[in-house]
Amino acid sequence: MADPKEINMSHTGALSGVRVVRTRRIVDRVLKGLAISCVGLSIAFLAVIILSVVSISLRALTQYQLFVVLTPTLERLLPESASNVSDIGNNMEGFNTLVLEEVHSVLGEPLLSDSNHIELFAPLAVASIAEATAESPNLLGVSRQYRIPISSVFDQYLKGQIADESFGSLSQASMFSEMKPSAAGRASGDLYSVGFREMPRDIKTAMNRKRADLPSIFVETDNAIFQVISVADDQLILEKRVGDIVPEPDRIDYRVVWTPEVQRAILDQQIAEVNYLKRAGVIRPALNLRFLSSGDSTYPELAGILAALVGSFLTLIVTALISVPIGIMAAIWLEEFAPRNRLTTFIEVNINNLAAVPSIVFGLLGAAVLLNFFGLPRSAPIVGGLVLALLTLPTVIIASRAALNAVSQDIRTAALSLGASPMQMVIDHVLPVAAPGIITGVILGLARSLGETAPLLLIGMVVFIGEVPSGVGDEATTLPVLIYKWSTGAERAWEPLTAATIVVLLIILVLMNVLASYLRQRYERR
Amino acid sequence: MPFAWYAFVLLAAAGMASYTAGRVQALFLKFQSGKALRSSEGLHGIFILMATCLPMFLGLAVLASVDGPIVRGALVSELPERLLALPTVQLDQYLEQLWYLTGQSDVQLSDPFDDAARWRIVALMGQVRLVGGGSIVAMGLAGYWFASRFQTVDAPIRDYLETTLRMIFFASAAVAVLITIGILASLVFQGVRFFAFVNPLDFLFGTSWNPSNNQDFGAIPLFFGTIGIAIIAMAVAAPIGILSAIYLSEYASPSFRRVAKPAMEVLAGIPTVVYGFFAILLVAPIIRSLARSVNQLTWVPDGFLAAQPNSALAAGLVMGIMIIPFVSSVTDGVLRSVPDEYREGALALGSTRAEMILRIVLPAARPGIFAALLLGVSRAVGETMIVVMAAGQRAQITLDATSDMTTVTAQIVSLLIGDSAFDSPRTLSAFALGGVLFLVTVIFNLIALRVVRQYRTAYG
Repeated sequence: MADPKEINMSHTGALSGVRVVRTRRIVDRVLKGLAISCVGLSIAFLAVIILSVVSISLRALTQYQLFVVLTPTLERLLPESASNVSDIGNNMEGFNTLVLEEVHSVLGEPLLSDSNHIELFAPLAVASIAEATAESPNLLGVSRQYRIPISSVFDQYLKGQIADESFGSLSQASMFSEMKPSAAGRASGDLYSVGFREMPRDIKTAMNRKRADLPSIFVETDNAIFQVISVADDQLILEKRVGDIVPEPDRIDYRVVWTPEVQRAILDQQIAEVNYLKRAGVIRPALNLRFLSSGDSTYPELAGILAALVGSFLTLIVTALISVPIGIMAAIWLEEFAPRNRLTTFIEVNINNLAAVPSIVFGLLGAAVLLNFFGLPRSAPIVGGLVLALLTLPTVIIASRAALNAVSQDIRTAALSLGASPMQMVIDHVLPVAAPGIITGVILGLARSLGETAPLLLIGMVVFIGEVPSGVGDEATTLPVLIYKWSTGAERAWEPLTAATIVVLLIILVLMNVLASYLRQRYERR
Repeated sequence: MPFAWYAFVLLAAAGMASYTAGRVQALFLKFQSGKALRSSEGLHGIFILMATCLPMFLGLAVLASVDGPIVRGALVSELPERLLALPTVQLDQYLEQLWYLTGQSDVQLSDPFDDAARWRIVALMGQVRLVGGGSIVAMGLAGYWFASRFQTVDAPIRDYLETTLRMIFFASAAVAVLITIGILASLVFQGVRFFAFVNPLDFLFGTSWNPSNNQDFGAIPLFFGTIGIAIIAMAVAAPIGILSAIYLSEYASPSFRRVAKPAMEVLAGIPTVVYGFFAILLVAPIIRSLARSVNQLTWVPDGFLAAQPNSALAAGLVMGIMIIPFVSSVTDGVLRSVPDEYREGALALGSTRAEMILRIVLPAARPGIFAALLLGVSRAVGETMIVVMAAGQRAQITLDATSDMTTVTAQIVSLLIGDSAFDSPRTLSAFALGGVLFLVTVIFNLIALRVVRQYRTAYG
């Protein structure tokens, strides 16, 4: 394969010959560099995808909750019209009032969030407490600490997702005048002033901003939170937002919320209230266990994946029950019994083709044949499992055939020569040897079907499922479909939940793959 | 589903009874004749069990799929004129509601007729299942009676069993053909119904897609979006996939290969919905802000790039990442099947490694690489979740990749994701689109598989 051009060049002289060799070496190195950087790039993509998802999912690990001591009593909670004690399980309003009273006793005044804008906690957040109380009435009349997840907007705010903030402390030394009711105080007497020798830089920068995007500045003590309404020379004029004044507090902190009020979902007053409750220890971060133990909800802070997890499991069971036996039997026929003829070739081509048909086409098949023609229920795991079984079948067949094909011919010959029939040879001798390989292939095929989304959308599995499905005929959804549904949610609070669901799904897939490769290794050692 | 439990219990009971009967019968024969059985008594039991339970199983499957339609037909024939005069859609809805209410026995219906009709469904269902169940038991008895006549001391029961098993195995393999037929039938049947509403030429060559008014079904914008996004994806996947495969098969040490190859294949194992989330979370916002900063350059006209929150570019790039492992693993296999003599020959003649790869190995592997790319394109065209989540819903023809576009698959999902009444052109158009998709991917796959097979026989 000598290139005539190259020969000519090397004849032009020793020097250019050296140059040619050098260029050739450079080309060699460039190609190698390019090639390895492409491998690196692919692995880097993998790392970026996993890391970004995991880092976001960490935000869903904890959740800010109200820690309140409640004393549910029959007198307070049993509606007038009700006769049965279990009716208090439906009295959300009563429980809501109990919680709000508790919160008010800390805040000392009604919440802004009571009347308008976002509520501090969703009305449904007390549902689990109400149910528990209705189920075991001995909780009545007992004072216990209860936890209620706060509204996702507040949760996101406290996690720093809604507004940019900076904090600092105003040390006592820099103060030269104590807080006192301002001379310019209104009738309410809520105005105070505080002065400094040196104003913190953040506050200076904040006050110099244009009016349109003026940040909100808060001054906080353990007992009260104020908002800065203006600056006069070296004095801050403050308006009390929440709490009681202590003339000589131990510590004074400030908080600058850089995102202007009009650009965020949470008002200044609400920021003051929620921070006050946090300082008072009423709002505390806690592990978000509800994520694993409840179904879907319209409120992000109450939503969980249990229903989808069970749905995925039911669907997987149906898929496995259908595709595994049929797939293995088909593989046995093709590998051990099929005559070499046109029909066999046709079936083989068919299987190879089906393996590459886009999954959504199977969804169309499910919608047209299973739902429309056979009238099977929409959104049910039985239909989802059937569709995924058809989708996984080619994979199972191909994997099982490979495993059967890998069985040594000697085993077959030995079995036949000792008088076994072909069927006995396959069932008693070939199949046991091929079993680990078949199981590996089956697990990998099922793992793929567990992550499948598109066909399930077409058979109506993208529905709101609050209750855990109890059978394959119930309405259900699966983990990937839930990921799709949550990822299209308008509120940003869905984002960490979606990421956390992805992490759960990936963990399941990794476990299945680890199991498969463990089996494969054991098999190879034999 | 109590019906499934009844069916299961019935089958289990029939199975145990028939196995025991077959076995006892065989033992009886053995002692009566005093000779050894040709086939063991266990096989006799299994033989009788299969003869009894197989017809029952098939009968149950048939009953489960036809009981609904039969009851429905019977009910419709009993409905008064005023209900039958309703349009089909409303009648369907009414029946569906009644059906749902049969399970809610504690709910009292206000309309006495509806209440009666609801209980009529329960009664009819009971009758159908009673008759069906009775005939299934009769079928089981018939199977038992038929098979037990073959039970003699020297009956080749094992041969009978093996023939039956072989037939079952063949039937399993034939399921793959059935699936293809099912796909074809549903696409063709619904597609034909769609083309009764819309001229096929208008569908294939029309440039306006707006299914919500049940009128504009010009699919060209969808084809454009699909091809455009596939091109973007292949622009990422082809070079990275092929170069990675070159490194893995030509340069990498075996130990590096053992680590890197599975790591790359993990990319193929990530569910596509995760890629979609990644696209809307990270890639689309980056592309949008990049496009905005391009728009702010002085020499660029205002609003030159659309800079949409969803963009064809975001979907295409992420899809490219998804396809890398498909391209690289097929290419890797192809490169490794190029005989080592070629490499040794090239190196012996003084070529560098790069020259060996570029001039000898790659040309030899060209058809296989072509097939790998074809499989990649077929993936890109059929990929759904990434485009549903990240590409947008607007059917438009534009060369600006930062604007949102839609694809065939994304439209199929948006057409069928809600309620699907199978009689509007809107719903049916999804099947016409699916038909085009199926045809294109099957052709690509067939070509690719053929090329790979020819390639294997050339070097095999």
